[in-house]
Amino acid sequence: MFDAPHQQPGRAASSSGGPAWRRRQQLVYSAAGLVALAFFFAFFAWPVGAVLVNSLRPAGSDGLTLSGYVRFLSDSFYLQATWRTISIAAVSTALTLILGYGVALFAATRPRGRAVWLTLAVAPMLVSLVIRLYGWMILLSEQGPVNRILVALGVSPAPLPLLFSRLAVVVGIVHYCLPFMVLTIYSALRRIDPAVREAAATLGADGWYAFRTIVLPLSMPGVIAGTSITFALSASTFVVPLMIGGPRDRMLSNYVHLAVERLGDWEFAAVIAVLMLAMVVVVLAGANRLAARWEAAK
Amino acid sequence: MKATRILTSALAVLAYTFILAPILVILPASLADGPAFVFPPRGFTTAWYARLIHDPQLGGSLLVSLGIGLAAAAGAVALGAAVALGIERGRIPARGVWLNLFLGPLVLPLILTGLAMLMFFSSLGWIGSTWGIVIAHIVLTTPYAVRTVLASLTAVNPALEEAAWVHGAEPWYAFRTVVFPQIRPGLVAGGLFAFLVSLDEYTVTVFLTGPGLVTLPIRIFQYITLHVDPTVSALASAMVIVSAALLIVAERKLGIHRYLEL
Repeated sequence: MFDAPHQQPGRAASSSGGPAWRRRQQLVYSAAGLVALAFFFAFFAWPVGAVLVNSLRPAGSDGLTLSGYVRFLSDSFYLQATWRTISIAAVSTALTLILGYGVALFAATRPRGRAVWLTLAVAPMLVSLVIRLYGWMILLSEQGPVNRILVALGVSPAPLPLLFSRLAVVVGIVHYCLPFMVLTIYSALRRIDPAVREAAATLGADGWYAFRTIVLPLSMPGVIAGTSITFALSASTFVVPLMIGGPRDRMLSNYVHLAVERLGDWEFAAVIAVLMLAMVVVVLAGANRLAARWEAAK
Repeated sequence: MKATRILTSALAVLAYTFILAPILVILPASLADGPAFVFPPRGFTTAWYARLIHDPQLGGSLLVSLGIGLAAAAGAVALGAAVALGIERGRIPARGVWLNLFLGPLVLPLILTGLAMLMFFSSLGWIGSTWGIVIAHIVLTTPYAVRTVLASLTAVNPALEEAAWVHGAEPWYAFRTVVFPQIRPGLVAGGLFAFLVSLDEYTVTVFLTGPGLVTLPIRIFQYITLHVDPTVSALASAMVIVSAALLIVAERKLGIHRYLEL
């Protein structure tokens, strides 16, 4: 996802030397790019770098020290929070993958109205997350529609405490991440040449066999990309556990915020945030290697 | 074959119900006569919409967020165009590293960006300042504009602009008459994404607000969690309707789904 879009075929020829007007043109655009770079350096790279430095400089210490990290790693409270964050993210990612693959496959294989099905599947992205979660609060509340259906079907004799639970957090995360998963898998599916599937059908492969041996392997790059993005988003989610989780469902993001608001300990907040970043980087790098290996194996 | 088709349709209905239910449920809830969390409602009323119009806090936050959203979208589009043009048409070494820097805000945990902004802006004394939030939102939304402008820029032939330069067009004139029309769809789509992301931003903004400067998502959060006030249902449903209208217009005018297919 981070590679530049396809290279201009003419770039090699146009990027070196050339007539005066071409050099002037490149100078103008390079200058525009440099202004943007300066802005991003000042307001993004520098502040983020400061967080890294601050995480090594707990209050009251002079010089750099790892004591903040030692404090985190030796406190079972935070280790449990880390484990909780990883397990909630893993479960949510698995569910998002299953649901997202199904929806993407459904939308991509519609003979008509593909764009409508896709747009409908990602439409929630255009509605504010706070409002979407408010919708889930209404749906999952004690006298809400989900509980009414469960009671009416006889699944449960009395309304269940669905809201402010681990289950609500997972449901909220799946709903929040689903559009990203659908988009990446949909794009991968659309890149498969329809002729390949037709050939399989002509040669007598039934639907399931053709899916297992052709469609699924060819869509693997999308699956890997979507899964890694979803895990990164799930593991860093802040608003979902804040709004529809209970006090026992807090995730690492929430502890960063609490460290600032309750403890007033910005340096420790920085430690947690940097560890979260490390987690995301490991997952994304792993997915990149997996994708590269997949490409090489073909 | 028929059984598979019925099964597929049934699963699709379930999946799309899951996707759309939490949004659609807000519409009847906004008309509920009684507590917000009883569904289906016992009766119907439009009282919350009337209250919404006269609610100074929600109205104030709406104006704050619209202003920040417009400023952030303008900034993101300008930066996104500069980045895309610089990377695609300029002579800059290590383009890949650059692009990663500009797409970085999409990958970094938002809470880390929020903490970074808190530390940085508090050292400048900009906490509770509109400018701090606007700059943070520009950083967060520029990646979207970079992507959409790059997408429209790589789709056009650079020779068209070179032709204008060869024929002696001034840089600004060549940009205005050749390049700008080519990247306009990307600019509009990028601006739209930036505006929507800004309007919805919670995690970073919550570190930067101050008394008297509360953006809409944070105000809505307060209404929902601190004092459950059904007025917020009316606002939520109004926003759902506006989003749906915006989506339909954007799809008709710009073909937004083309930008969705990465």
